[in-house]
Amino acid sequence: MALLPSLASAQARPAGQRPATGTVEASIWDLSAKAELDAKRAGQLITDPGLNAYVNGIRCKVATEYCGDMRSYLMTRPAFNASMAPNGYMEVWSGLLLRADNEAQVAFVLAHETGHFQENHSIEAWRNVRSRANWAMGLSIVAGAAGAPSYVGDLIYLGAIASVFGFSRENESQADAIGFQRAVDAGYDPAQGGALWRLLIAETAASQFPDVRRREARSSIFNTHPISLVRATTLDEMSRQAVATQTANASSTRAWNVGRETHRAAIRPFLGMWLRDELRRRDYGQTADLIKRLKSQNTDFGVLTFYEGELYRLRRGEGDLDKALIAYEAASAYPDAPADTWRELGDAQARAGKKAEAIVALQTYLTKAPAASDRALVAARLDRMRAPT
Amino acid sequence: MSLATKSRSLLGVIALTAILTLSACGGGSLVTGPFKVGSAYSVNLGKTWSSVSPFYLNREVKYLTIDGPLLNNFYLTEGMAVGRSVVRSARKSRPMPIVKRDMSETELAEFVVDTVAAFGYEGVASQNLRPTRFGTVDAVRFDLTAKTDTGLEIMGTSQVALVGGKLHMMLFLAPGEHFYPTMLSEVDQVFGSATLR
Repeated sequence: MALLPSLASAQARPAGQRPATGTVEASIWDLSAKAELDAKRAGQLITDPGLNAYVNGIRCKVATEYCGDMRSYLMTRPAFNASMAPNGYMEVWSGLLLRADNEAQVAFVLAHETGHFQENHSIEAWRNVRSRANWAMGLSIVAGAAGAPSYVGDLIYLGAIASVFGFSRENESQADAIGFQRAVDAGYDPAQGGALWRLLIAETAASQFPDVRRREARSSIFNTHPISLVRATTLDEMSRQAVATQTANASSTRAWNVGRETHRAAIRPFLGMWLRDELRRRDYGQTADLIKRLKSQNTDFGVLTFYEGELYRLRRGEGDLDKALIAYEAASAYPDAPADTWRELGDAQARAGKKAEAIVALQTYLTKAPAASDRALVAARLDRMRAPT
Repeated sequence: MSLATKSRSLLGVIALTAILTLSACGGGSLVTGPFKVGSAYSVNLGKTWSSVSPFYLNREVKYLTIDGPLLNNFYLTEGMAVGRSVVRSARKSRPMPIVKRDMSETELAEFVVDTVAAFGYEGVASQNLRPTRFGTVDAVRFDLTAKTDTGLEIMGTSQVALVGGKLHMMLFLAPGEHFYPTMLSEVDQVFGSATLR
């Protein structure tokens, strides 16, 4: 049995605590505030009220007493990531929301981040790297004295400061344990913590790039060390203990919250856009694994099958254009297929020499998307296809 | 992480400054009037542009600016063969958009949009795709919107064609406020002046 990490320490921060002026923590908060200002202006910021309400709702369920101390910013970035700054500024990336199977898995990540916040891990990390920062500050001053532009000094200094946010293995284990307890206390299914890491391990193994497969995790919140089966196993053990405790407590009739449908409903409006971002990573092995898993929930077949076709079309391997055609045909049978399905179906049919079918598909596209940005282009193409040769 | 991202952005600024500094020392040049894009085609530049192509990693791309790369960018590719890309990748696991065999008109625009996204712009979207001519061949013309990672609104326009299976792309990008509208008539004129060789 794995040793379970320790829970909250005696140094856990009280809710509403702000650092005293002139302290090291106050300086780190100032830097975090600058980073937060950048986040507010970032081109990737997702401002959709519904999605923000969904994520904020989960955060406040697991962060309870710190709900008012924290602010989450959703970013359109196709990697599995969330981060927590010491002043309560949290980032949640679209790649995380797309990969989580359910609300409970999102809750485990946000609760883990809350664990870092609760335990002031950034301050602890800061103390550990202070000598590095002193060195960086010295370099910044030297760079300034040598007449280098001010941003050179900023770069040196910010590079060192960024390292503050790389938590130690012990910090991560503690955040895991705190996060687990917070998520379970909020009623989330304890099995989903380990399940989340297992699916990430599987997706990494599906990468088409050997160097990615060799890593156990990519762009994860745990960039200080890889996601590992050991970590998932530890979370599974915590889950078994939580279930056993509930079973032993005969008075408890609590039903765990998984929130599969809730989660899919929250991310459904963004599925197409985020899958397009995924395809731009051009790791088709990982994206294929992701789409397969999204389809396993037996919903959104039109959108997901269309993007399966897009994956084949973009990958362009042996036989992929044929597979794309089959996928577009399949997608077009579902009511939720995006209008683009018929444009791509038409292109695929034209490539396959099926001119008559292609004309029908392209015409259907124009009917389904009368205001399409490429209407003039497709209409001109149709005219050429219909013209006598 | 945001601070790490900021560090990377600053690194980009330093690299850019280094390029500009180098261009001031030699290697870059002022160009106007007839301008050859490799052996593929030529255009007529109405204004005087700075060619900073020697400092762009990809020799298949002519890279012009007037006010500096942060304020206006004009990319002109000579015929790029299947498998080639405008943006060079630093790692095998970070592949860039490449020219593919048998590309449709929509895919030509998609290649440009994905290339602009690979430059690091956010929320890149194409608008008003329309047929046009690139010299004497059919081509696609469209407009673009995007944002920088700090939220600056960017606008762009592109004209792209396949000629003999090779991709010819002209792409102009600039901040939407002032710089894009100011340069649009010049860019339109350059697009219209393309003469295949």
